[in-house]
Formats: sequence, structure tokens, C-alpha cells
Amino acid sequence: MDWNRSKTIFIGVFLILNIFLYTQYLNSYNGGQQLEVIGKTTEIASRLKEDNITYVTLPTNVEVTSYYSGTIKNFKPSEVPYFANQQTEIVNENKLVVTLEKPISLRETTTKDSYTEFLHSYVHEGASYTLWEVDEEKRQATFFQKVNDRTLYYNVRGYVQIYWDEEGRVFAYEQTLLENHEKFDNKKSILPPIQVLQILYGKNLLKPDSQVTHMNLGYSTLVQITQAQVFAPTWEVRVLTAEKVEEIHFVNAVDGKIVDIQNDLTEMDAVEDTEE
Amino acid sequence: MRFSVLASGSSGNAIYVENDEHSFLVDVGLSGKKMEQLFAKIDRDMKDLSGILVTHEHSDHIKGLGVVARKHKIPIFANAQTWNAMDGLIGNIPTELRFHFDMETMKTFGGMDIQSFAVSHDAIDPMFYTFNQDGRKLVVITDTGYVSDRMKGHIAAADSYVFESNHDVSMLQMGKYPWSIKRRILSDVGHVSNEDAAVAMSEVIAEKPTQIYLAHLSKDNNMKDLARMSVTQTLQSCGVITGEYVNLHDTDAEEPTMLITV
Repeated sequence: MDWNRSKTIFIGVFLILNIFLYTQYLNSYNGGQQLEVIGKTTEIASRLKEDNITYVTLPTNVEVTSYYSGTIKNFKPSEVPYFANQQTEIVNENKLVVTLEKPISLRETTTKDSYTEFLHSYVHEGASYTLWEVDEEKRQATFFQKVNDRTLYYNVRGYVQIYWDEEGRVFAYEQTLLENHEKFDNKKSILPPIQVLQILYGKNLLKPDSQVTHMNLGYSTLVQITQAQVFAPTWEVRVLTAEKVEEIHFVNAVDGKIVDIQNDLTEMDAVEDTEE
Repeated sequence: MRFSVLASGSSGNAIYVENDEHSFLVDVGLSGKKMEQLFAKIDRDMKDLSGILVTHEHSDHIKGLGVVARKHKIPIFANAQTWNAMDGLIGNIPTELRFHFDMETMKTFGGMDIQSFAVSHDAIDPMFYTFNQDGRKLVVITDTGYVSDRMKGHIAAADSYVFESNHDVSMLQMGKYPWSIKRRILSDVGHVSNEDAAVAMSEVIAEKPTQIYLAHLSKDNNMKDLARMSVTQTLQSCGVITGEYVNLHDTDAEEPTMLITV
């Protein structure tokens, strides 16, 4: 027997076998990775389905964004923006309380456009706010400031609230403003919407038979320092419960923590009232 | 005198300081391979080091210490208690590379005075260093729970600071760390927050051009922009306007600063 030849054949065969096995391993590893992602998504989707939790088409176009900062605008009497027909009072340096000497009629109180028109025409930096909520009973509408063209949720230093009378005429509004918005250098990956639903479901905030009616990416205040704030990307998730009650949840879009900010405006107002 | 913050953060710390004759490393908190890469980025060679000054025995300060010292035969300086605490953590260090640098003492190397001073941190006997040469002063203080009057005496009126600005308190409080860790970080033997660091800075900086490098930022509870903004505002509220004679600079966990002349 030619041992040298046999040895060479053995080495060749084992080399080919090793390459084949390694290729198989790589294929199965990559396949496993894909399965894991798909598995997670389908798992939560099927669990939501089992509990009859439905959801709208989820946003797909946001993957990375940045933190932002802004500073609180302190209004000096000499800097109060002038608008004809408006009497302005500065409260605590950072809030304008404006009375309209002649109330201005809204085109109609049922469409978003008429509020926005008012804001653009009669409010300083009006275009930097977006409508959040209309309370027909109290006859007031609340606008939140925008950061990076996205809503900054419930920030007592960045909102406008307008008030109208029974004839649909705006007679007053109040305003706070965050200025000098600056983007932080580091870009952050955003949690995919389905993962946000998974977080809410895991925390029992998505109850059986509820509907996720709206998901939107905005910002919430992460850090407040004396005159500045840092805003973190935040998912807004609106849920209609089986009892037809709307709940709004906010989830930090970077670390997935539930952000408890819903009553901030009210709480801060209460504090300010007490201080006064 | 020149220095570079090679890396700073909970994933590893190393600061390079040199004069015309000697060069030192304060801590080796990264692997030997990573240290080689960092040195290459500032165009220096680790084999030329005169010594390594150890601040304390936490792994983010000594991770690559044994490997680097043995490979390049670099003397290590640490106080007695830190040497004891490092036993078993950095491998066998030959006697000829073991040197003592006691707390609150000064050593001079080619015109550069290196002074050690105690800090308040949950290590066995932690200390940091000031570097003085030709009337210019560099301070390195990156792990302390608070800045005492005694520390302030040591670090006052420097031209450059590598100063801890570890966390934002509200980010830490809201963050994912277990309560025990949060309590430890916030304690007197933990780390200083952005605001506390700025208050301490305002009390030690002199009215002369001063460069402050914000260091040891927490990955989870701070951000460079936030640290800079927070320190700027706190300094301002203490009467120090940044940009006038005080300038703030970032450091990074992976990228060295350029070599800065003090």
C-alpha cells in the first residue's frame, strides 16, 4: 500500500469535509438568527391576536434619531412679541398670558385647521406648535411644541393653550416656549413599534379586546436642568380599551421604559399656583 | 508638558502624560491590544513609557496593567494598599517593576512634579495625581464621590483638568440600574454628578485660561452633550462663564483626545 498517497487522500477528504461542515454551520447559524427575529415578531403578533388586541398599520420609516436639548425662553417685557389687539402679561418670566381685546372668531371649532390658522396668525412662533387636544366642554385647545418636527409631549415649558367663548371666539391664550433646539451628536436606534407593543403587553398595559389606534414618534423630557432640558425620542401609543376608553401610553423609544408624563401640565400648573 | 485622555469611562480609563524626558500612563483600564491601538493613534509607543501610575484597583483602571507592564517592562507605581488589592488581579509582576507611590507624596521626574492625593471612592486606598512643570499644572481626578476641601487644595488653580462628570442624577435615578448600584454611585464614595463636578470646578479654577476635559461619563446615565450643557449651566450659576477663560472639552470611551500641551 502507498501510505504517502493514502495520507494525502485522507487529508484532502477531511479538508473537504471540514469546509462542508463549516459551511453547514454558518448556514444554520445565520438561519437561526433570522428565525429568532422573525420568531419574536410572530410570537408577539400571535399573542396579541390570541387576546384579540388589534393594531393599526405600524410606522416603518423610523430607525434612528437623536436626543435634542432646548432652553426655556424667559420673556422680558421689552421682548414680548407684539400683536395688535393683544394684552400680554408675563407670569414667572416664562409664560405669556394673553388677552385679546377683541375676541377672534374661529372658522369652526370642529376642524384642526381653524385652530392652526389662529396659531399661525396670532401667536408668536405659532408654527412651532402642533395641536394635541381639543376640549369642547371647557372650550380650550392645547398645542404642544415641536422638536425636530415631532411633538414634544406634555412639556409645561413648551405649549400653547387657547380659550374661546360660547360663540366660538378666542378671547385668551397662554404660551410657553423652548428655544435653541440642539441636536445631540449621537444617533440612537429606535425601538421598532412591534417591540413597543410587546413592552406594553408585557406590563399588562395592553388589555384583551383593546385596539391600538395610533402610534407616533415624538419627544418627552428626559432631563431638566435649571434653564435647559433634554428630550428623548418617545413613542406615543393610543389604545382604545374594550370599555371604549382611550388610554395614551408613552414609551422611551431608546431604552423601552414607560414614561409617565400624562398629567405633567396640570401638576406643574398646580405647583405654580401654589407658589403664587 | 503634554497629555492625552486615551480612553475614559466605565469601560476603561487611561491617560497619557509626557514631558520632554519622561512619559507616564495614569491607569491601564483597557486590554493590551486596545492600548497599543490607542498609542498608535497619538503616535506614541508604549515601550517608551517611564512608568504607570495606578489610581485604584477597579478593573476599569487596571484591566491591561499586568500585560502591558510585563510586555514592555514598565515600572508600576501604586500605594501599598492598592498593591495588596491588585494581587491576583494583574498577574505576577516582577519585583523590579514594583514601585511604591504613597498617598499625599510627590515624586519628580525630569522637572515634572507628580503629586498624589486621596479621593473618596469605594476602592481600598484610591488616589489621583497632579502634574506640575514650569508653573503649569495638570489635574487628573476621575473617580470620587465628592470633592473635599483637602482635594480642592490639591487641585486648585490648574491650567488643565481631567475632571469626572459621571452622571446626570435624574437619568441615574430613572435608569435601569438596581437600587443598590444607584445608591453606591450617588454616595460619598461613588462618583460625582455633572452638577456636583461643576460646583467643585467653580471653586477651584482660577481666573486664567483653563481647559477642562469632562471625563468618566457613564454610558447609561449621561451623554457628552448633556454633561457639557449641565456643567456649563452650573458653572454659570456659580459665576463662571464658559468660553471666557474656561473651556470645556469632551473625552471618549474609545477615541483618544489629541496630545494637548498644558
